[in-house]
Amino acid sequence: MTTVIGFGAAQSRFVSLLDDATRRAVISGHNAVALTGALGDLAVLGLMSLYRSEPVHTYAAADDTNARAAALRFGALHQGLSTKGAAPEALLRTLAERAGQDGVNALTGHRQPLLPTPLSDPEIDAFWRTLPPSIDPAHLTRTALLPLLGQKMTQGALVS
Amino acid sequence: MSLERHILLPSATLRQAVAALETCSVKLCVVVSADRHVLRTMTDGDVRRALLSGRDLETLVSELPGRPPVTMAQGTAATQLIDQLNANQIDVIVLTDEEGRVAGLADRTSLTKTLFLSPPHMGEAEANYVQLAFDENFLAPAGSNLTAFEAALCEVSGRAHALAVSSGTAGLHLALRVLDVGPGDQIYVSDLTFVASAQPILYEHATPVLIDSEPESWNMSPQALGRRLALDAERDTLPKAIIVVHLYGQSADMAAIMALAQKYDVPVIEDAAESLGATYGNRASGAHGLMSVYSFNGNKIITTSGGGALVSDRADLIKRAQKLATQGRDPADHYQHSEIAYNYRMSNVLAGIGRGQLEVLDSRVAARRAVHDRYVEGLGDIPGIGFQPELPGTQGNRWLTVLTLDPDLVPVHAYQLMRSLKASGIETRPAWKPMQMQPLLRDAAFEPHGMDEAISVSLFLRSLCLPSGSAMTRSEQDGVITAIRDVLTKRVAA
Repeated sequence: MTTVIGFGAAQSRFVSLLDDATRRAVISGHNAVALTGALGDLAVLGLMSLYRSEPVHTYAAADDTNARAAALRFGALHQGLSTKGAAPEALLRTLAERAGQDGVNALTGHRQPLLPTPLSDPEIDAFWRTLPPSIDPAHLTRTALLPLLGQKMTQGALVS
Repeated sequence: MSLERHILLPSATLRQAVAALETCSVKLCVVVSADRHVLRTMTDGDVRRALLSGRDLETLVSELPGRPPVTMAQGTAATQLIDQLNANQIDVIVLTDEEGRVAGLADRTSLTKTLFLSPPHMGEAEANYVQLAFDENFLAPAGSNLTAFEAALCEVSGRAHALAVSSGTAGLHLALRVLDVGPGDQIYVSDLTFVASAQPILYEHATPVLIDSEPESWNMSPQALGRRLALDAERDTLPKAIIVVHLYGQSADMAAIMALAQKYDVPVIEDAAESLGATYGNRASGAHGLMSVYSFNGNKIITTSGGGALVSDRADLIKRAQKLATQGRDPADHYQHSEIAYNYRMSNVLAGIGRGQLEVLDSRVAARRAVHDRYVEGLGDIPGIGFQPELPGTQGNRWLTVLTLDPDLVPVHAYQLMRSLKASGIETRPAWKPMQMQPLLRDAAFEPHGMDEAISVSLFLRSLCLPSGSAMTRSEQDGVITAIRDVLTKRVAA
């Protein structure tokens, strides 16, 4: 493991680790992302799209404008589902069910048992533990993903 | 294709139509009204049918029977145009402006042809030099082409000695071997580069340390380099060499880098694989370090199909490299070998290609720089679009023009732009993926530009290399610019 020597190196390391975890997920057959408003979802979509010549399938609440913008940005095949007022867990369940009906293998940016997420990769877990207390993980995540997603998208999404 | 050669007025005769068709590469003329609205098209088939029906060559084209022409709006995506060609079983579609006036022609051959990123651009001399190798029957790694090519390389690089080898990677490998790099040695290398810059480090089981880019040229950051050298000097683990890449043909800040290298007494190897013909001040790119490497791979500014060269002012280093490049043969008439070495020399045939290509290097640099300037002119007004900068006092060869897209101002990611352009027959490529993001180098140390700021990953995530070939026509490049504008400003995604 590389010694993290500062915020700049940590940003790069985080993107590299997430990219590699997403790459491995794509190799294992994942081709879709459930977008629930979390920054991790958008990051996984963005990185997954770098590995696929075919469009990534995305699923989100119909009124999620950030998800629509991300789908356009990465050329995804997007489905907005009517999930008005659904709690995050219920929303994710609905999206996962639709993905299952479509026969695609979806990922998410959330750490929960419903769908796999590259963000729970053991190397990423280990990376967080190497960070000095002066580095705020949420701030690092947002700034590291800026070149991929832009300010508007990263600020409009939740860091889980 | 000049549109005016395809235009006929209704008062034109069949004879004039035949004459026009004879001079056009796309065999279709458009008959237009005085205000250039499309009335009909004329092909060789229309002329034949008219003659067979008893008309003579003085018949006016306006008197001939015909169907309404197939037209589509200018700016229609190539995929849609091809669909229409197929649906109508035709090979040419007339493009019209918003008022329905003729604006251009879209033909099947052009639409289905791929415009490559950086294809070879051969001149006339190359084949003659290759023939010379055949005439002299010197096809092995020896002969007049090889000697002349190496002499010409010395002149272009301003170096005293050159060794032509089988690839740029081979040249780098030889440079490391000449410096006796081995297991446990640290080698600094630019993070944002093609993997060939780092592979030879791994061949020798040495330890790469990845140095971030700076924002001024995207090359090795002197700030990061200085910090890392100070740290390693303190730990008594200074590197055995620094490999500085001149990215996409743009020179790195060699004054700052050489000053640091001299301060810590570390040799510099310039990876000038992409920058032949570029300059830094009044010296060639590749004229600064202890040794430098060029590449003549098929996609480079000049090519030998595959090939490279190692250059230096030190005769002893090139002599040593030459021995290593020829299986390390000891000085004896029988074949005696005392060390691990390689078969890395360039053949006399390929050197013939290189000899011819070097003669036109200046014009190739000028052409690539003109391509870059036309992209800036044609796309620079789009909010959020940027280009790889050039350091003051340097002149890049603009091997590839690289676009950056600001994610807050451009709604489409670089990869999506790449896929959309591919559907239009235009090849683009992402920027090199930084070495720190490569699974191969996942555990390598990385030194960022600033303690709070890293550059190379950010560049990778928002950049795209555009078609930059020196043989690309203005019309082909206009097509690329139009296609990019369509995707970025009209959100026409594939």
